[in-house]
Amino acid sequence: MAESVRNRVHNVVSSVLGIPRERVLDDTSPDTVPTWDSMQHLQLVLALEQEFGAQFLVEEIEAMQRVGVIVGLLEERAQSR
Amino acid sequence: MQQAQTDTRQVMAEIARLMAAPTAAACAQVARMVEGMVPGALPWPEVRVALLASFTIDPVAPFVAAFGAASGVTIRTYAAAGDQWPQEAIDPSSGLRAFQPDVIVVALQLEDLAEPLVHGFLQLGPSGVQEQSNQTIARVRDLVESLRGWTPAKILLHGFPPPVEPSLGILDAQHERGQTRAVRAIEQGVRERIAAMRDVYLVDIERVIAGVGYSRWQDARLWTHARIPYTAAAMAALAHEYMRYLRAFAGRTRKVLVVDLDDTLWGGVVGEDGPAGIQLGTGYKGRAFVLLQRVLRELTRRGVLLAVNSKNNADDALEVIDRHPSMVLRRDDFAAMRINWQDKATNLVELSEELGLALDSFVYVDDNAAECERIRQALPEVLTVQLSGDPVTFAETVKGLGVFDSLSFGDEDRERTAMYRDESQRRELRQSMGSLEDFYASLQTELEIEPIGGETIPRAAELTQRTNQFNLTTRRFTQDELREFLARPDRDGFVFRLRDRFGDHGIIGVALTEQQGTTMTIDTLLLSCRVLKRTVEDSVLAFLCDRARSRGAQIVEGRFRPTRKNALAATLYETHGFKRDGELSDVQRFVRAAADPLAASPWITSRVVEKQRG
Repeated sequence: MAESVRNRVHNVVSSVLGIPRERVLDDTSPDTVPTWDSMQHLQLVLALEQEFGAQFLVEEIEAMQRVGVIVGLLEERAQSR
Repeated sequence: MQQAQTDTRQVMAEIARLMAAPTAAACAQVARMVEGMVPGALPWPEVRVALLASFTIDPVAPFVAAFGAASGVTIRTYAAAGDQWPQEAIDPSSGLRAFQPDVIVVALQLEDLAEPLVHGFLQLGPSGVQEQSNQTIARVRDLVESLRGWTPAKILLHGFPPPVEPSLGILDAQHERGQTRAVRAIEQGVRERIAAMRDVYLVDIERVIAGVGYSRWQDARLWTHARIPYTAAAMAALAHEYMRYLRAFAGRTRKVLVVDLDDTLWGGVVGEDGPAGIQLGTGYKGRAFVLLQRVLRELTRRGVLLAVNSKNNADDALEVIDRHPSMVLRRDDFAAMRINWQDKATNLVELSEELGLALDSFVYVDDNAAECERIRQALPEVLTVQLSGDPVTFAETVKGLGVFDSLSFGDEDRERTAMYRDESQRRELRQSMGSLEDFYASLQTELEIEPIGGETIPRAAELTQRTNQFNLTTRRFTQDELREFLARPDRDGFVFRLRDRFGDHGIIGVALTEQQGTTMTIDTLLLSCRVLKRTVEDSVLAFLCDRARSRGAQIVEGRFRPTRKNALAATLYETHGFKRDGELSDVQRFVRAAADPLAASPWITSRVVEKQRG
């Protein structure tokens, strides 16, 4: 079975923000990760878009302020496809 | 120590694994690994790269660090961007200056410098275009000049690509008032203004965009949202392009391309199919191999040495190389060959010895996965490239390696293969001759010594960048740095040319000296490794001592800075009567009385050509 969307998102967050994989949770957000600033946020967007072959709307980019939100967004896309 | 080595190998393997697909996530991860390393933890040089841009360039930084790591350079980055860029360049207290960069990438977009030239071109009218173009050129020149005012860092200046959808559409490129022409004129204007400045290189962004494809290059969404003009693919391509410069700056250009034969230079196996049965010249596959051979021939004319490493009966393979009507490459195009049934790693080591070039300047190309794996494990310093799949892709694969870049090009480069082939003949002679003395005498060597001048600066600088083994201090000079070094009257620079009965080696050595009071210091001394073990160094040192005496010096000081590669030169001064005289940080100093003459090689005829410095 293919790797779950959640798993892949958590992997990308871990790589880009430099936090250990096991500490990435759906609740992880800029409030809990000091390195997650606006520049890292864009870096994260670039990496997620590449990983999922997706393009987010600017509104979505702005709303992606919690790992769970990102997972939800991408799961929704996967289903509607 | 053992533990540290294992860790290093693990880190390097992990970097290679991640960078097999250089995505934003992989690059971010590698950049973090590099960032977290203690300085000096990896056995690599460290380079400080600053990015100065008229837009948000920060996301490019991890790509640069990661691509550096993938080719064995630790890169520390600094990104200065946004509205602050002019101040960053000028302000003495700016972060850019505090960073003390070795290399500065200057990325200014036309639309940030003169927005109407991009988005209001027709509205502006011819005189407005002219005026804004001139202002833009002047602004770019001023910026580069002000950087040059406080730093010797190499400057990589982004070029100004013309728009893909220009103002006049299909007519644009053909019309004298077209936007295409105007933008090209700006780039040309900038090129002319920076030509005389030292170590400023205009990065051909138009070419980099073409490689990625314009539709995959820019992201209007991120540009409008965050002033990031590039996609992740574009950032990777830029980092790759910068690395090509960095490798050339650091003297890490690959010099030898070793190829397998069967299913690499032609289709099929000559030992089984016979010379008439291989695929070469006709048919889809046959034409594909011709394409690859043309790429290889072009590389040899650029100065890359080509060699063969093949498991074959030599007669079968040579039959094809010498006689097959569709072979593009002939025996003369190869500097050396190993066609036998030996282990290929052993062959590569032998080729390295025969050519006198270190294995870390080698690229090995083979279609066979097992052979490639063998070389990767046995000789990790060789860049091993496996050609797989459709042979029509082979030519582009080799062309796109980007590891042969040099900052200069001259006639020497075109002739390099012949010089090395001659050298192989000399070695055969050495093996067939009895005593070493007889061998030296039989070579009939002539050494010509000439002050470095306008015509020889490119070659002299190139040698400082390429020579690793017999290089006493391993100081790298670009042409501009060399010109600057020689501008002072207390300094001298010489090139050494060598000829013998087998041919002309061209310029094979460089010496740079500096006089302080009664001491003449040999700042730089290097000889191309293909002329070593021939007593050339005796004559060169004898000349330098003569020179010191005639300049009124009493002491000649030689310097040796040990590197991983120059152990060969470690004893040069002591074996020529110099006495160890302490160290300056990592530099060992050796001195000798200038009055005490040093014997030149009895087997070499030397001649000093006094030419004026051009």
